[in-house]
Amino acid sequence: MTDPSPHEALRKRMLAGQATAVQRMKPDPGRTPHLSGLTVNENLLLASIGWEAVDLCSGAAVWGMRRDTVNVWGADQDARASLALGSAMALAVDRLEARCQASGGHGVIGVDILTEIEPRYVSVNLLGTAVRPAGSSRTAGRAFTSNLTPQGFVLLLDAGWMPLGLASGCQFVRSYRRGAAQTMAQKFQNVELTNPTQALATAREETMIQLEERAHAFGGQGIVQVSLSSGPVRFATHVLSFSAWGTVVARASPDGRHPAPRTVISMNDDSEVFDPSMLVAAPMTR
Amino acid sequence: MNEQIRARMSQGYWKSYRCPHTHEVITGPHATWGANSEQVLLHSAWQRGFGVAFSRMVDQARHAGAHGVIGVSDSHQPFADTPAIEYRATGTAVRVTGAEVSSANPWTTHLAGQRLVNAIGGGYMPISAIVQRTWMAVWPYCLTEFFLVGKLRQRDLMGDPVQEVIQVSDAKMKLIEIAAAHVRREAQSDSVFGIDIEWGDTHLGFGAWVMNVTLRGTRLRRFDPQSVRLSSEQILRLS
Repeated sequence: MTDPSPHEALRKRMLAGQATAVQRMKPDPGRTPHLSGLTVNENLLLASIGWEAVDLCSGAAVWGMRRDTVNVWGADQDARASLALGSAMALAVDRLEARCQASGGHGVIGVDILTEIEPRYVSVNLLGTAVRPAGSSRTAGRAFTSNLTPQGFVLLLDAGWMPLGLASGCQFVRSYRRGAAQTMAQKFQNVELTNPTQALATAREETMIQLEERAHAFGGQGIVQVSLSSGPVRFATHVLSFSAWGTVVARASPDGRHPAPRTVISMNDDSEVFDPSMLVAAPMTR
Repeated sequence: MNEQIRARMSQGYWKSYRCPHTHEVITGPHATWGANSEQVLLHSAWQRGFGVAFSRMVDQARHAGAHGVIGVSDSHQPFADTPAIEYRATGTAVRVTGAEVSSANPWTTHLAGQRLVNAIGGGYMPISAIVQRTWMAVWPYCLTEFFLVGKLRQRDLMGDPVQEVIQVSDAKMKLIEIAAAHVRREAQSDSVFGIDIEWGDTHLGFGAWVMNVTLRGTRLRRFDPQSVRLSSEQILRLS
């Protein structure tokens, strides 16, 4: 006897699902529904290592900075913004972890980080999915937070490592413009703009120090999935910002499994082979 | 009608904030209180508009003899130049080849293609596509107004130069909590996977703010707990 074709197997499963889940099985009123921001494939992947999604969790913090000057981001405002964003980042993570613990999760993965920098306030909004080993109860310890994707989380656990928490750092540094005389003197020269270079280097250095300090506070051995963003602030281009997020990790077991990737050649084209708009003649120009 | 509106408005989340400067000398305009208020009327209007569009889509699929509707998507836009909003729900009605047409309502899902096949292969059957939208208004009190749009005056009253704008933080946390509670209620005891989140903001001036969030996901029910678990393989992308 031969196995049914994939088409036939799927047809049978759809009919079975239709007959049982849709028509006969009723919702179990004693069970709390599990909400997950992960896709179906990611939930199934998580289930393959014995974990389950528990709830959708969020952590938000909005911090304001008092303005003491008429112009936007005048004196002291870069230092205030650094303090405000750093505090908002830390508070949002704390709230996310508290929400995760309340929902019975052991940690939050796939955290989306939304940061808004406005002239008067900064806002950090974190959103992720609380997960736990399938069927386990609440954890007495701290819940972890991670910006790893479920695929990254599964790989990390397989390799014998564990996420400990979400570390962050940020710094805003004012970069003074060149004076009028210096600008005129350098008008026909290719020169390095030392002020913004120095400011960006300072912002980066401070941010990375903060990130390392957070990782040490978690007792971590490294930081993975580090995302960096830098550049001038949209509404105050004389201020340069640098911010970083990453997941602090530590080795949980000495005998981790390291997957050996195989090379797969995709037979799909990345772009359309035929673009119908090519048939439209370009308008004649005189 | 007014009675109904008043009764409806009193059902939502409401939290008020009091000005802490009761013993200070204050000159000029000063918001002595503020509130975060769930916009139940907006939610109810949306629910009616979207609900009708969605149920018409399901009716159409049932008349076509479908078992389910896959790849459901929804949109809303102002209708011509009127204050009315047009809601649309679209999807593809499907049926299992050779199977009898069911008398039950067709199931609906945002999933299609490979994700739908994996869900059914993993022992989960879609029950319904869930969409929930929630609004929260922030009517600012003095501290919120000062830190969002305030002028230079009165700055000595406002305490630390860097501090949390608690009213807005509360609003953002509560907004997602209420939307998730709506999804949980609609899901009853089933799981909802693949929740997608869309944020929206309308700034009304003077620090007043109406924020909204839309959650979309598929309600799934496990029909085969013994199903084979997904086997995955790492692919190293070279491009």
